[in-house]
Formats: sequence, structure tokens, C-alpha cells
Amino acid sequence: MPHLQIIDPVDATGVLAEMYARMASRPMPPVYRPSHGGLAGIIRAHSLDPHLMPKAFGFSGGVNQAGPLPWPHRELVAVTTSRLNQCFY
Amino acid sequence: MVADPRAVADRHADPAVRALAHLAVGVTERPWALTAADLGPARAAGLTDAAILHAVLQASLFGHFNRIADAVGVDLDYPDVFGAPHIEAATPPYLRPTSQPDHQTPKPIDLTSWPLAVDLLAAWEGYALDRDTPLSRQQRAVVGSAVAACLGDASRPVVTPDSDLDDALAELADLVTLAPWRLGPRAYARIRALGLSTDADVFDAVATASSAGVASRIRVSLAAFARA
Repeated sequence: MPHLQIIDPVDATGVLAEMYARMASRPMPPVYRPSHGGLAGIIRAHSLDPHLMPKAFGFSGGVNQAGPLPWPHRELVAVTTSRLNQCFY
Repeated sequence: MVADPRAVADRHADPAVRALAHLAVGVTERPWALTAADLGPARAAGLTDAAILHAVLQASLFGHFNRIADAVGVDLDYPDVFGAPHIEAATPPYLRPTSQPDHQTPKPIDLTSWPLAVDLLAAWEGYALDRDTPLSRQQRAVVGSAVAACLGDASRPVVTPDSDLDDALAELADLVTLAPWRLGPRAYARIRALGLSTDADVFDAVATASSAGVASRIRVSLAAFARA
């Protein structure tokens, strides 16, 4: 049971439905595709503010498409940060 | 999963891995306490300034994703075959700054060296702080100011809470920034009782604090590297 509402893609309308569609069509390495086949939980976790999605994920996509760190180093930074913040998602 | 990030930062055989883990710990826990001494090992390990900047941005960005995931309480995307750890709410909060890096000093690594990142960050921070609903602009300024104080960001205007709700928002912003593992229904009760009652209201308060934190964390980290 989440602490705050998560609007599922099947229930999404308007701007949220548009954003979900945009996020689903992003290029993504197969290893990052959730095994449940749907949109990643971290995308759905932003569902209460669809306008925030292109800001946060736009920053993520822009920085990580152009940035020089190789994938293993990006992952190292990401998991180190997540462990300290106790994000086990 | 890295069970003990400090062990990686201290003892991993690869100096670039040690340096990156060390930077991620510093940016996440105490960006205001970083100094040039935290930059040295990364450069000595062969990481370029562009790669170090990328690491600072990545740690700050994941700080946001971590906060949103914890605040919303999202389920895992994958089968938990290894046994994911559980949140330890009693973990002490990150420390408040005892100093603020000077933003006027020339920075050894400047965000302006990456114009795309400047633009994307400005758009994100602007969205978080510069609109009127669900939180008002004034409430956003209170949240942004509280976050800046938690991270040592001297560049954002100081706004003093002047109502019970402002005070509750500042308290929640502190928690988002310094102890995101404690986010959940109890953390939201006070702002809900004072009028920000819907899940969308609460999400906006948390996301404003988290987004403001990304920008402050990046600015503070890069300014702190200028210190001896």
C-alpha cells in the first residue's frame, strides 16, 4: 500500500496519459525494462504531478545521454546514493 | 546493491571506483562539507572534470528519485530474489551545515561548462519554485529556503515561515532533505491538518522540496570544491 496515490496507466487521462506515453516510448536498454512489462515504478510515483515528469526525467535523459561517465560508474553513483538515502525501490 | 557504500569508498581495489563512491557519499550526506581534498583523488584516479561533474549531477538526481520513491512508497519493479533491506527509520538525519560554501568564488568545476545541464536544471528548479498551485508561490519559497538552509546553499533567498502551515512545510522540507527514509503518513499529518489535505497537495510539498534540493545540492557541491 503506497503512502500517496499512484495513478495507473490504465486510469490515466489528459496530460498524465500523454506523459506516460512519452515515457513509455523513451529509448531504454532492455536491462532497465521492468519485468512486470509496465512503466517503471519511479515514473508512476510521479503520477500526481505529470508536469514534473518531463523536468526530472528530461534532466536525467539529457545528462545521461551526453555525460561522459561509463554505465558502470553511473550505476555505482546511483546505488551508493540510493543506499545512503535508504531507497530500496 | 551496495551494502556498505563507505567500504567501497575506502577499500575498493579500483581508485576510480573508490573516488566515485566517496564523491557520491559526500554529495549525498554533506555537500556543504566537501572541499578540494575530495576532488583530488578523483582527478588522480584519471576521472576528467566532466566525469566528476556528471557524478555530482547523477548523485543529486538520484537523491530526487530516492525521495520520491520513499515519499510515495512505490513497489519494487523486480522480484526481490536477493532480499531487499528494509528502511531503518531510526537512522539519524544527515547533519545540518556548519558552514556555507561561498558562491562567488571561482569554481574548479563549473556547471556552466555543461550548458545543457544548466538549461535542464533551470527549467526544473523554475518549475518547482515559480508557480502558484497546489502550493502557493510563497509556500514554495518557504520550502526552497528550508531546503537551502539544510544544504548550505547561500544562493537562494531566505524566507521565514510566518504561519503554522509555513512552519509545517518547512518542517517537512527539512525531513525530505535530511531524513527521507522517515517520509510517510506521519510526516504528512501536520500539513494535511493545516489545509494541504489531498495526496496531490502532499506530493507537491515533497516534490518541491526534493526538486529544490537537487539544484541546491549541485550548486553547493560545486562551490564547496573551491575550498582548500
